[in-house]
Amino acid sequence: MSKYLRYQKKAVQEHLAQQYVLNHLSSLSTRRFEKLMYNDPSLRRLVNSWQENLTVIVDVIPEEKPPKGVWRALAAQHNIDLQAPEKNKWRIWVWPSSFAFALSALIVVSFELYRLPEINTQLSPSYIAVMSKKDDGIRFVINAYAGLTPGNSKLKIQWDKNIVPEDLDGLTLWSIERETGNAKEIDKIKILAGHQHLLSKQDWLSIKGSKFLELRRGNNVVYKGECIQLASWKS
Amino acid sequence: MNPDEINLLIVNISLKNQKAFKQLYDLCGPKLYGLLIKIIIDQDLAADTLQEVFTKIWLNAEKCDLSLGNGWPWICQLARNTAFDKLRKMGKYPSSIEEINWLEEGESSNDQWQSNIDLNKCLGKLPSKPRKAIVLSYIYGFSHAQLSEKLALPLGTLKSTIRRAMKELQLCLNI
Repeated sequence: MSKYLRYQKKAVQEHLAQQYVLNHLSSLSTRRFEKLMYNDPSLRRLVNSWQENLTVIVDVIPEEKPPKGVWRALAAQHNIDLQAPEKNKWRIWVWPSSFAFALSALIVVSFELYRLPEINTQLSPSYIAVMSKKDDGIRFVINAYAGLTPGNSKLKIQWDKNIVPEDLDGLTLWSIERETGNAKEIDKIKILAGHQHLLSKQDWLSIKGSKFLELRRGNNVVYKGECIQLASWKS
Repeated sequence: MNPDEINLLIVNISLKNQKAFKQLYDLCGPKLYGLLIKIIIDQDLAADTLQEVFTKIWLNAEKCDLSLGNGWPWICQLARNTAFDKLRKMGKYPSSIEEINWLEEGESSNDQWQSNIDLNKCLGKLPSKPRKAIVLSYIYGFSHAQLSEKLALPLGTLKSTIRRAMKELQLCLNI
């Protein structure tokens, strides 16, 4: 049997995952196993499952206050300065338009934006969706940035300053597939809110292949917006 | 540890958010330092290792795939691997089982071990030696050969004992 097919047997994967988590693999085997894991999400899931359960053993161990020098050394090593003022804090003014598919070029809405950190993505969004509710107008803008390398695609969500934290409770982002109309859940808005979410490959493909994005509370669609590909637009 | 809080911090650290990095350090640093002291014993070396662990977190946070599991187990694995590598390079390990008496203390403490009822119940069903082998492997990274010597079990017996014990844990935890 091919040595690669052997690693796809469930029993072999299970055994190797356990050995890996217990640190019973040799250095060479560990490196080979980590390579296998990189290419196989089901294997990573198996390892994560064992790690999650056995990590409880760590919870038994009492905490110890680290020496102050550790944080000072980390801050010096990585140029961390928590006293420095935030850079790149700026406002974007967006005005609504009556044509949803043209909003990405014309809309300016007043948002309070967070500092944009350095990211390993394209500088401009590849996709944008302006989310509105009937009789309530535009409340969210969702930007999807393609990664410069695989696994680095990110999502950024902005919302109107009149949105209060309670408005985000229970809201989940969904994509509606262009070809089939199938709906796929992406993640809770509170996880995504205010930060650039690191998208899995499946989630990025869902955004890429979507006709619409929806914000749902349970089964109810609260906000909806057409997902527009900007990468093909000229400027 | 609140898993959602740690997950959010890791996402922000992947975007090089310095405040999030400090928050994660404040939240997880003491627990990780406690773990590293158990593994490495020398407190100065444990402090150096803690710095190394958080450097790895800062540089590799984007590699933590939160769609497959929470961030805290990923951080613990990172810390353990870093500590084991350090010990291997120095050829150091706890010299006897008696030095690891905290393990017995932990097992008899109601508060700590009961915090995860499932694992405690499942570990509790195992005989003493297999349970010790699993916990010692996880915390100290003992190899099969070292466990065989420490627990006075032939190597082949030790390996099959651990394999059976993990199988029982798997069934008990429904993994």
